[in-house]
Amino acid sequence: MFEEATATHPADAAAVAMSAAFCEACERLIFVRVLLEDPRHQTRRQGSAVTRLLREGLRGVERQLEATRPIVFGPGQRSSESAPAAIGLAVTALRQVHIQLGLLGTRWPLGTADLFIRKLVAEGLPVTVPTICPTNQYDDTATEVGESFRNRLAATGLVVKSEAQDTPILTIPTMDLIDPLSWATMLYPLAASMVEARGIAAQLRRPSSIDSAAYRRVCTAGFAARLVGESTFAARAARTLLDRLSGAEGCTDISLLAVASQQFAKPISPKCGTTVAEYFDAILATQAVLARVWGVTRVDAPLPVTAAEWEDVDQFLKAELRDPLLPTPDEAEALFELLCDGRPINAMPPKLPDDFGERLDASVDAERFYDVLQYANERPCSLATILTVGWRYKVRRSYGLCNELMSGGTSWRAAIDALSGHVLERCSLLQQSIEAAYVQQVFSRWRDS
Amino acid sequence: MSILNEREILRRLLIDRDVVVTPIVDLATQLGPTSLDVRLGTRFQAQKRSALPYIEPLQDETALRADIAAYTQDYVVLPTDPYVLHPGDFALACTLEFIRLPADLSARLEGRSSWGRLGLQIHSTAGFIDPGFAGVITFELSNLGKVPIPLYPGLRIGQLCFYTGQPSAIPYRSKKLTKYAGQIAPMGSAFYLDPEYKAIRHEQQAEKERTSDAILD
Repeated sequence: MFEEATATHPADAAAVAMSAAFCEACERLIFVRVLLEDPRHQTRRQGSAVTRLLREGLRGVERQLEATRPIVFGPGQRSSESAPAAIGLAVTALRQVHIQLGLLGTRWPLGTADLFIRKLVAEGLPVTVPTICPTNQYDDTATEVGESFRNRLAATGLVVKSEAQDTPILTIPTMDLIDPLSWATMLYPLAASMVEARGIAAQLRRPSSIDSAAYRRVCTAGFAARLVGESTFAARAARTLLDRLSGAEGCTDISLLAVASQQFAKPISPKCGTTVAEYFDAILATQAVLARVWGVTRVDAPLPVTAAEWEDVDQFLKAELRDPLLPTPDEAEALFELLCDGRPINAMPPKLPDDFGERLDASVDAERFYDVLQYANERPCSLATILTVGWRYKVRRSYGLCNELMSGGTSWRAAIDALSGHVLERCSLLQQSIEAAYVQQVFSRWRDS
Repeated sequence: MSILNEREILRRLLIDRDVVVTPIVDLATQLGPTSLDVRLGTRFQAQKRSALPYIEPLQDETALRADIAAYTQDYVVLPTDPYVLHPGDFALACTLEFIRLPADLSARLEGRSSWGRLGLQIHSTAGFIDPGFAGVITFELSNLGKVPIPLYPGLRIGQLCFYTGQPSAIPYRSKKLTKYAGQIAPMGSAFYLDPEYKAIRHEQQAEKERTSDAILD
């Protein structure tokens, strides 16, 4: 599947792009269904009527995806022209259902999403802990809420000055509160606010380079890529897959982020040299081809950034931010196997000496026993590690399972329910991983200080 | 059936790897002669006042879940912010650790005396962990003391003892009725899923039919 994504045969690449988009659409359907099944809606008077209405809408989305299934996965469908429009219709409808979630009047708790960026801060990254707000909109925000709000007011003629120490405000679509892999989309507007607050673009920009706003975007992409590696690009690319099919612009600066992320990209598996970044890059490039052929999507022209400009930005950011704490290939594979085994990936197993068993057997007194224990503690995984392995798991397992279920003879109901169980387990395990790693880090840091 | 000592616990955890307890933060502090301390996680489910007279388990499941949601509130707490359990309060929480037991091992959860002496009870019924269990362990927290107790994620509030026995033919996830398998957050009671309520509903329906037949006669 990964080799197909980078294949030169247009029909193969188009088929992979459409199946990935279909898988993403199914995941979004599953997340909105979970939100609607929340029993808290029924505790309010308007809850029952609104839930019935939105469930009707969601059933319509599901029927559309069911009808699209044979178009995307049926035999001999590799060159189907109707797949993008069919998926796009389902996604457009799903966006409408999502927008109307506000009618429920339910306060959506952030849950583990609140710990997400705090974990980055706890790992020593120089970012400000933002305020995170769930939103029923599903439009991309490349900028932090405060900045876009002030810009909109300025467009009306009202100028509101920002205070120097403002906390960045970020939004997250309500349906994404369930999926830790989607939370990485927030890191791009966070990076934008950090670049702005520290005047990075102004410090770096040469007189002859691209305009200042564009240069800021280059710095933002570089900063965002350094936070957790290619996972930020993967999250925004997965969202862009659907956005473009439903007529929305998709995440801005996706191509800049792809370039900035390449230096931190690692192979998806020991048997496949393609990285997650290359996988999604190939899919988005295919979408661009589809756009030109079928006129379904809009794709922005890439920014003309020179290699020297990228080098300047990278050298500067290296001094500001360390490289993301990514796993080695062996570590990534070991953690991937843990996820496959239904276990969270909050910590790296300890590296035990070869004679650990013998030492343990010989530890018949307290002194020798406590001596053995020094090898036995786990090391908490970084957020970059958890997300990196999570994205590999999603591409290899979740997309793989979706393809298998949707291509086979399983009924739609059985297929979507099986996929739902898998996806929700993945989300739960990754949430548990982030929570446990964060708490463990607090105690480990104190112990090691 | 015998209880594992510290070296046997370590062997099963790190060498055999058929027992999973993760994260292991600091074994030197957590490991006792025949027990392993477990820590408080970040998630809590508190009970709040509501206008409900009682929870009717025989009603429609959607309405039942709505009733349960009406009197519970979920929280995720930061490691530096406590969840405060006031005197007389009850809340569900869970271990920081994800735990998995093989088919030949069961475990018992007990409190730690440091907390017991403050009046903190960590479970009333959730003390026994079946062979084959996988997930986080639920704490049923009660404050029986007279002062509020601040509870921070990561605190060692419980301890597990492990017991070996013959491998079970029906480890937890293979059991016919498992309501809490694979949980990673405190789940409220799913008592309404017990098959006894189906029997009661069936009997109530049969009584209604008998009564209406008698009226027609």
